[in-house]
Amino acid sequence: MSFIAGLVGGIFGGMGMGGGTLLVPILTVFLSMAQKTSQFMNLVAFIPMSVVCLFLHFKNKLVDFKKVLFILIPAVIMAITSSFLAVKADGVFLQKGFGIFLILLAAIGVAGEIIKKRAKK
Amino acid sequence: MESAKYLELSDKKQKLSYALAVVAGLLVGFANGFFGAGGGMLAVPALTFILGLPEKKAHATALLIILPLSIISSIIYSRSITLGAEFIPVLIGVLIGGIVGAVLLKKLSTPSIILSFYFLMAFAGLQMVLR
Repeated sequence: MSFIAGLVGGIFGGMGMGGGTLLVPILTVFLSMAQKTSQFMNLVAFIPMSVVCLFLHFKNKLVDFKKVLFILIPAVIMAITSSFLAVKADGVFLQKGFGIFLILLAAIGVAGEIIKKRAKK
Repeated sequence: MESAKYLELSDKKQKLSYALAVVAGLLVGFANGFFGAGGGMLAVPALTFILGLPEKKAHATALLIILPLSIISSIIYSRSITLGAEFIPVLIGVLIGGIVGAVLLKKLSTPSIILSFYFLMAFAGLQMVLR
């Protein structure tokens, strides 16, 4: 079962559609793992795949190294802070927060698709 | 005069987009650290709509953001959470799934599949809130 959960998450991740956002709820809801454990597994599981993909994209000259710094630097600072908050947070609170976050992400995704479709016209 | 005015305006626009990018970066970092996921899904639209990268470049560059974030967060998580043997099948699944997904990408990323993915995501989110 854990293998299938990883497989589903990996397929969506490989397609560039955010596999982790599905892997975490599968592990928590269907496999009854602790929310923090699911999050930690997701973080680690996607590292090897990201390394390989980033290397391939780099070879194809698809990675932008300049503009990205405006996002990367504040993101690193915030990630350190929020990781410390997460390990201290209550598991149920984290799970419900994650649920709301997923619904928001889905809404952003749909909005993005609509904008893209309009831009093409 | 006219061109100077135009330059000033575009300079302002540029500054605004960098300021927005910093805000987006804070959100990406927060999501990826606090929820251990989702940073990429925020980074891609930020790179596309705020910094104006083409879609393919945005997807590739998002990995350059997510990879260091995930490594940093993993180190911090590892100080208080340990992963047992049940992690191994998940890891192997993600690796095989990742390859399958990359191959399927060209055939399957139609708008209807992408929209059903978002529907699934919202459903999963609801399950997590209601539990």
